[in-house]
Amino acid sequence: MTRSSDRRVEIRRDPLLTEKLVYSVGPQHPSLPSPLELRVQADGELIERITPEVGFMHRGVEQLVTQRNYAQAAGLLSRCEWLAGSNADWLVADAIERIEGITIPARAQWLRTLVLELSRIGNHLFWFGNLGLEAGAYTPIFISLREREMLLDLLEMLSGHRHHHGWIVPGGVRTAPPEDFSGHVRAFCLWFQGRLDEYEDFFSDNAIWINRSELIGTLEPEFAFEHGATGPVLRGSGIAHDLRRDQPYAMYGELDLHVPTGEYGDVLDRYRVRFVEMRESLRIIEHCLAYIDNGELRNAEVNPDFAQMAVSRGEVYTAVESPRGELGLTLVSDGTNRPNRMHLRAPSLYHLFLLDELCRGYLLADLFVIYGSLDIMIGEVDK
Amino acid sequence: MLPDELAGQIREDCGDVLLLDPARGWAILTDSGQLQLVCRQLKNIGFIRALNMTANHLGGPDFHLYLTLRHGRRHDVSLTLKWKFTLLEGNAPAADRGGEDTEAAPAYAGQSVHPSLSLIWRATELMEREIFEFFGIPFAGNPNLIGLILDPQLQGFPLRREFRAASHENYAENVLKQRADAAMREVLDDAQL
Repeated sequence: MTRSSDRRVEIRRDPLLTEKLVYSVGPQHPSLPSPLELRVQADGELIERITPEVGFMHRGVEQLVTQRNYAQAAGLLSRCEWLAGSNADWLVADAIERIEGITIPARAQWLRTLVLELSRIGNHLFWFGNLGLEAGAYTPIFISLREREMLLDLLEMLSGHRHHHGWIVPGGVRTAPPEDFSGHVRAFCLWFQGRLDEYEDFFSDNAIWINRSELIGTLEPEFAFEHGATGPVLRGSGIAHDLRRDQPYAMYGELDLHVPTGEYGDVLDRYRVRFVEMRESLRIIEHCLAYIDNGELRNAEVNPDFAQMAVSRGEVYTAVESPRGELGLTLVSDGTNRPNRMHLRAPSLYHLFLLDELCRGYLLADLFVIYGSLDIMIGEVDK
Repeated sequence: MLPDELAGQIREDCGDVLLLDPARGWAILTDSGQLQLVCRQLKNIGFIRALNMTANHLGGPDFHLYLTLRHGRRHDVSLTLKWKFTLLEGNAPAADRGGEDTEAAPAYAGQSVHPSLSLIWRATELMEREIFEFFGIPFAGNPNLIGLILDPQLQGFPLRREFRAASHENYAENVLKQRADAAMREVLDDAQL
C-alpha cells in the first residue's frame, strides 16, 4: 500500500466561531497505563494543542540514589524503567566499569547482550498489547502478555527475579545460567517466531488497524532529530540511528545489526519498526546462545560485594539503546560507595513532549493511538 | 571517542578555552563566559544534537553543568562538555516553579542567570527546565522556564546539597520524640518497681 499524503487536517477557523474546549485527560484514565495528565485543547474534534503535565509518580529517585550505595542505586534506577529494568542495571555497571577501567569477560558480555535483548522483546510485547487497547483491539494484550510471561519465566530462571533482575553487576553478571537455560531460550525463540508471524497476520495487515495508523501522527525527521527523539520513534521517522550499531557496547560490535527505519514517520511506521526489532532481537539472542556456556562470569579483581563497592573519583556519561530509545546515565563519583550525583536521561520525556506536534490537526480519536505509538514510560519521566 | 580530525577541528575552532580529552569524548570549558560561543562553534562543527544536560551542586553557589552532544552525520561520535557555574550569592530566584496560570518564564533581569542554550539546541529547553526545577539555576532566554515534575508548592530545590525535605525533618523529630518517650517510659517503669 502506498501512502500519498498526510491525513492531518489544517486547522481553519470556522466563520461560525465556537468556543474551544479544554479536556483534561488523566491523571487516571483508562487509556493511560500510567498516571499522566494531558491537557487537550480542541476545536470541535480537532486537536489544537496538548500540554502534558507530569510528576504524579515522582519518587525523588535522583536524590535517593545519593543516599544509597551503588547496588541500591541500581535497584532504584531499574524501578524507573520497570519493563526492561536490566537496562538500568547495565548503565550503572557500565558507568562504574568505565571509571574504574574494569574489563568484562567475553561470556559475561554475551550474557548481558542476551538479557538486554530478552528485555527488549518483553517491553515490545507489553507495548504491543497496550497499543491494541488504545486502538480498540482487545486481543493483542491477551496474547502478548501470554508470550511475555514465558519470557519473564526465562529471566526469572536466570536471575531469580521477574522484573528487577539486578543480575548485571560491575565486572560481569551475578550468577551462572542454569544448565538447561540455552535449551529453554531456543525453544522460546522458535515458538515466538511463529507467534510473531501470527501477530502480523491478524493485526499488522488488518485493514482497521492500517486505517487507524496510516499517516496518523507523522513526525518529520528534522523535528524528531532536533527535539531529542531517539530509538524507534526516531527510526520510524527514517533516521537509522541505533546505539547498538553506532556506539556498540556489550557484544553488539560483534554482530551485524540491521537497523529498521520508517518512511513516513507515522504511527504505522513506528509500529513496524518495533516489530522488525523484535525479529532482530530473536536473531541476536540465537547468536548469543553459542557463547554463553563457557568462560568467566565476572572479572575476579572486582569486589564481589556490590553493596560495599567504593568507586574512584570520576565522571562519566554512558548510554544504552533501551527499547524506548537512548537511556543515558551521568554519574559523578567521589571515591565512596555512594554516588555523588546520578542523572537518568529518559527517552520518554522527550517523546512525551513531542505529542503536541504529533497530534495537532488530528482527531481526538487519534490521540491515544499516537500516544501508544510513542511507548511512553512514565516511571522514567517522573523519576 | 573523538576521531583525530574532529578533535583537531574542535581545538582549532574553539580555542584554548576547551580542554579536550578525545579518548573519553570529554571536554572541560575553562571559561564559562565563552559557553555560548563555544556551543555555536560545536554546532557548526556538526554536533547538531543535544542528548543530555544536567547539573551537580558542589555546595554553596557553585555548580557543575554537563552537556552531552552527538554529531549529526556521525552518530558514533559523542562529546560531553563540562563547565562550572556560580550563582551569585543572594540572587537565587524564588521557588517559583510556575503554577497552572504561569504561561511564561518569570523575569530574572538583574539576577544571576545562566544563558539558555535552547536557541542553539531546541532539545535543551526541557533539560534546562529540569535543572531549573531541581537546582534553582535560572536560564535566561529559555522560552518556557517553568517547573516540569515537582509539586509547584514545594519550597527549595531538592538536588541542592543543603536541601532537607520538610517531611524528612518531621520524620527525624518524630523518631527522636519516640526515643525520648521510650526512655521516659523505662524510667517510669523502673520507678514503679
